[in-house]
Amino acid sequence: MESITYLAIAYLGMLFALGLWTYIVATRHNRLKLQIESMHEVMENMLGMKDDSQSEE
Amino acid sequence: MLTDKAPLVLAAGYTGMAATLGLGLLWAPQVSIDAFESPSAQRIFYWHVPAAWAAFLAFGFLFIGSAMWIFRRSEFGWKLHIAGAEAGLVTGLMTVWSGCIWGAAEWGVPWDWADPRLNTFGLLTFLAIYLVLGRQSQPDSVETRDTFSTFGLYGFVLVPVTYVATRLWTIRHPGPVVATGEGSSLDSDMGTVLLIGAISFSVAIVGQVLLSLQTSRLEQQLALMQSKLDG
Repeated sequence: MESITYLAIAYLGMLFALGLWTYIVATRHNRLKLQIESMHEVMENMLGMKDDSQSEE
Repeated sequence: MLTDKAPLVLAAGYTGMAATLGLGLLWAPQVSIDAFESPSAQRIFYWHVPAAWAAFLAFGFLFIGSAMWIFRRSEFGWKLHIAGAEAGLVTGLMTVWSGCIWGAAEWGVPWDWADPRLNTFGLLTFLAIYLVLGRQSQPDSVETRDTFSTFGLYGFVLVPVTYVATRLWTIRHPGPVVATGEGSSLDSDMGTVLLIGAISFSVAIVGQVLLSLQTSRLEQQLALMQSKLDG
């Protein structure tokens, strides 16, 4: 293989690993935020409970 | 809160990494054709070396977090353990991958089972894989945390061993070119790109750790809300 091909494979692999990792972390983060938001709605609207972490007291 | 700045810190780190890549490929001088079997592939090291440095940094976070959990039962320590293991995994894999490709280009083989640095770093990466996958497959209990923190604590021994490996036993992996104590043999332009890379990867790792800490906080908040709903 050409020297430049090794270079390309190395960087493409590293970029893929970094991109995949960032995607996984960002997706997990956003999913949790959405779950917490929907949980707030359930607690406030359906059960009449208020979460302490959002309390202004 | 500091963790709220995580996306900003991460973006700054990634921008620096992109700049390092651009400078490494387009601006940094070519190495001597006579000195290397595969001169162009040498440019792999502009990300390989900073990724290895960032992995050491991540394993440092892992060590501190593990110690805080084992000795203080610190919740923050456990979160730092998780963040360090995850950051160590991605940077460790990047280092091993790029090292294997460079080895294939320069040595003709991707791995040397007799080289101490390669093998101790490989073990560190396997440790990170074990800690990340193991934690995800186990319930979050004190026993689980103790087990993984013990591995994180003792596994850190491999970091100084890996660092001094090329100084003590130079077999195949190239010896140090910076911080050698005898003046660097590295071209100044190459050294500049490498320095930008090291700073950028360090900033990105701090960003990753902050984001991971924030995510752990959200997980706990969600678990607390679920227990309220259930109970």
